[in-house]
Amino acid sequence: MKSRIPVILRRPWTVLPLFLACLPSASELFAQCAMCSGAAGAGADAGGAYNSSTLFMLAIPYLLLMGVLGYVVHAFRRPPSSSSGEASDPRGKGPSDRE
Amino acid sequence: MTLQSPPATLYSDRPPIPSHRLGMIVFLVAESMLFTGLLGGYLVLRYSSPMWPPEGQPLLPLWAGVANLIFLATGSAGIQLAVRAVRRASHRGLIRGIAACLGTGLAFVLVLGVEWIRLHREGLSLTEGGTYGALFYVLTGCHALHVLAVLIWVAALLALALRDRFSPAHHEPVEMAAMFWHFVGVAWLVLFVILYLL
Repeated sequence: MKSRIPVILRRPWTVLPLFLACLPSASELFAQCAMCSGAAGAGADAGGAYNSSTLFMLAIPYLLLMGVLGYVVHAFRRPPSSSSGEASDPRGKGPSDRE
Repeated sequence: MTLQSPPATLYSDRPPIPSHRLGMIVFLVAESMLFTGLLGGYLVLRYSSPMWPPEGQPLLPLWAGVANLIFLATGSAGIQLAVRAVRRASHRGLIRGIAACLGTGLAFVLVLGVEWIRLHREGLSLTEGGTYGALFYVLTGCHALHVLAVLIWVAALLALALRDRFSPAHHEPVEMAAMFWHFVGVAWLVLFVILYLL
């Protein structure tokens, strides 16, 4: 039977070539934003500060996305019985150690 | 002809990611972007400044940051123990975990409050000495508001747990509070590294 789970969730490593293709341009990241550097003007290293801040704010959403996708992959590949350990009691009241 | 049952992950009544957990993830991602924006602004002002901290401004004491980090990490362990306890239907474990979390959260707020008062007496203010004081108060204040929010949540959980309102099949509020608490801990770790160590 054909699985309904998307291939990117079943085999997340298939996106690895995409990441590898981006690597050669990584060294140029800190050389960008010449206009921003010029516009930043005053300060010790205002252009560098803007650049670092921009890269930081650019990186975080991707890291969050990767984290969420990683969790989704984990959740879909996990056997359902071990998801949260709920009891099978239909009333929702399991055995209690309350005295 | 024998029919094979479909994979349980696709057709079971319970989805792979419960709705409350998915909603909390979306909320925490949004919260993360709030802190990202604040830290982005901090990095611009911090690294475009010729001297940091500015002359005449006090250094941030490392001990307070470390103590708060330990408090939040202990609280994370406590609330996680509470989640595990409620899944095992251990009422006492649930109460103990939540109480430990509440205590460490109150200790965090206390240490941060003492820290703010001391730094204010030493001359760190919102309006003087450039953006140094304003950035510190805004970043730690925004984080403290989150800690206060999760503390109110945990206090409500404690009140409900004392009335035995949670069970292995119904403990979503405890799990969501745990997620929020872990987020607050990680956010403080990032703030601590950027504010106190860099």
